[in-house]
Amino acid sequence: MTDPINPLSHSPASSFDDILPAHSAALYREFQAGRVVVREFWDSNRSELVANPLYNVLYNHLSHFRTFYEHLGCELVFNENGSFFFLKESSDDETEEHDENAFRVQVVLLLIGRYFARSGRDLDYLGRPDAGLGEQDLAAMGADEEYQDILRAARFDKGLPEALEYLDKRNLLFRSGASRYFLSSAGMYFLEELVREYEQA
Amino acid sequence: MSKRFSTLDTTRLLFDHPKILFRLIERMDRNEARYVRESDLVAEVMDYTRTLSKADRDRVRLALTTDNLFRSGLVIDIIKAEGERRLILQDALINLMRACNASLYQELTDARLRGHLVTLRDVRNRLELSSFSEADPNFTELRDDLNERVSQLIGLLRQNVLRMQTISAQFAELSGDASRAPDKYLEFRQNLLEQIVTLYERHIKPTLVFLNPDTRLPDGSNLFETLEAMVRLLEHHGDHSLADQLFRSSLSLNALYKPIQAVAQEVEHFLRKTRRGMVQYNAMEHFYTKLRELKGETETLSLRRKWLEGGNFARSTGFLIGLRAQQRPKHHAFGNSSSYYRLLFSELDLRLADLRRKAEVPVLQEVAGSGRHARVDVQRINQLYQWLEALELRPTTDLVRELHGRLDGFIPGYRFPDLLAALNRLVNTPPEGFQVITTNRFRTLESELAPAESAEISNEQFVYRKRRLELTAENHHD
Repeated sequence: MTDPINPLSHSPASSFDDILPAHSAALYREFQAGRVVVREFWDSNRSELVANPLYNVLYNHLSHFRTFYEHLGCELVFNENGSFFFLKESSDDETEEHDENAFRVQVVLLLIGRYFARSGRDLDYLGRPDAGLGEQDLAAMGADEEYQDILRAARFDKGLPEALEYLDKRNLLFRSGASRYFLSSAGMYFLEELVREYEQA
Repeated sequence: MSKRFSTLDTTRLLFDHPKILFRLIERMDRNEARYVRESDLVAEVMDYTRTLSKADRDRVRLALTTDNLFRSGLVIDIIKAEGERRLILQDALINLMRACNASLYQELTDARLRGHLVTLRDVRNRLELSSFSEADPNFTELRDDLNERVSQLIGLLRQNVLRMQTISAQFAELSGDASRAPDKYLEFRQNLLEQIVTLYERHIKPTLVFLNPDTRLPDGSNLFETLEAMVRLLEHHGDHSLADQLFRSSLSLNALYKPIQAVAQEVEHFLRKTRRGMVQYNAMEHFYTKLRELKGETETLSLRRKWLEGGNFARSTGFLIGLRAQQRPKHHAFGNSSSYYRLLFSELDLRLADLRRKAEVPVLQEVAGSGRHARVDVQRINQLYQWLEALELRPTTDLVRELHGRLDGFIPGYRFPDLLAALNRLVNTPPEGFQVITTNRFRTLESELAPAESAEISNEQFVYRKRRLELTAENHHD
């Protein structure tokens, strides 16, 4: 009993049908804001890591979203080891600005990693909500003049707080308390990658 | 060759080509000698200048001849011994060169520190017997001597702290091989521990003991006790300025304790590291060194190089390349949506309506800030109310700004207080079919037109609560 006049009922099932527009829109907003979509994010009310539903939407419809963003002129990058997605701006304009954001993220993560390693702790603790960076660490990092110089030269005029905020906004690090932070899986991935690269060099 | 350079120009050339002296000082330190062999100098200069252009080469070679260095006072003595000529360089020059290159700092050993302490104790003993009279040359000389010793000591220790703070790079270097060859790790670790323990025992620990105010020494007072005794002596004899200066110096010395303690802690952490930890440590250090190089590039004389240029660095790691910037609110002067045009046209309509009534525009009497009569005010407000009565408005989220835009520059004599009056009127008797909703958000308006006659108040501000103008419900539906 299909209505022969309605052409829509005969069109082949589209991959768009499987996804709620609200989810897709929320994802688009995340990417537009320069955020990384991680598998788990920090729920500050429950004080625990919770699964990110948007990550699952992306993961379950990977090819759809790949095509979708390709049509928008971007590349959806999935990093399996670090369990995160991010949107890469079309890579044909290899401008300076293109690398600027990545570089600033890398600088802050590297400073955190170096500080942490120098303090004699295993880097793994940086990614654990019950460990990570504490108040003393923030004070020590903030008091290091060389770090401040580097941050300023990377256009973080207000120093460490601004840099941490920058990472926080992008889901590379979570704030687990008044002055406590720990790295997300994406942030940890960068440090682990540096160690791996160094070992293989 | 009769041509020679002045001391200033010779020094300038030396600093333009610092590598020559860096290498010579390094060699001096290695041989633990206080002189440079002339043959070494010549060989170094020849070797270094090979790659320079002809003019530069001649200039550097001429400036660094023994003769020129001696006559310009940079070499203070030439000694002939064991069939070679030895040049003693000016201490100040060597110290400056060391300051330019952290790796040239001489490590402080226990013996050197002890030497300094003994001299200070000696100064104290002489001070006890001194006359404390400005007229006595013995006392003034002693005072100068004291100042020099203390500032020398501070300088020396500060250099060493700087040097110790680069220790992490040194560790990375020492342990570089460990992280790569797991099978040889144990043997390597043994070696490494020995090297680090030497570093710690010979340099860090003595400095730490030297700078610890609680240290008890078998042969006499420690550094701070010695300084304190001198401060008391000076105070007792009324030389307060020198006493204060010495006290401040002892504070500076005390402050040096902390950074060295931090270094000592780091050494301890390092010794406890596992292989994995060491790899992590070295990896971080490796990449941090690269970052530091980038930072070094911003510290050249070029004023334009303020920011790190991290394109290559970022691409080499590849992490998050092409990540979007955080969106900042954009100020769109023009849009192309239908709502934008609707807004534009309705605004134009309203302004046109205003212009059509141009003949009725009230001229508000100009009033200065004070000394006006209530009668004038009442008259002004009445004029303004009549104008508002017939003013057409559209729904807006910010009534105050809208109203200001309509009145400012259109009605002669308009001032911020008039806006307040106009708002009062609209809130109490809104135009037909509209309602005014007062929100709890605050906004600020600034007057762009500075009052011509009063130059000192160039910028007025109007802080207000945001008010929305909305169609009333029944109007809204039809």
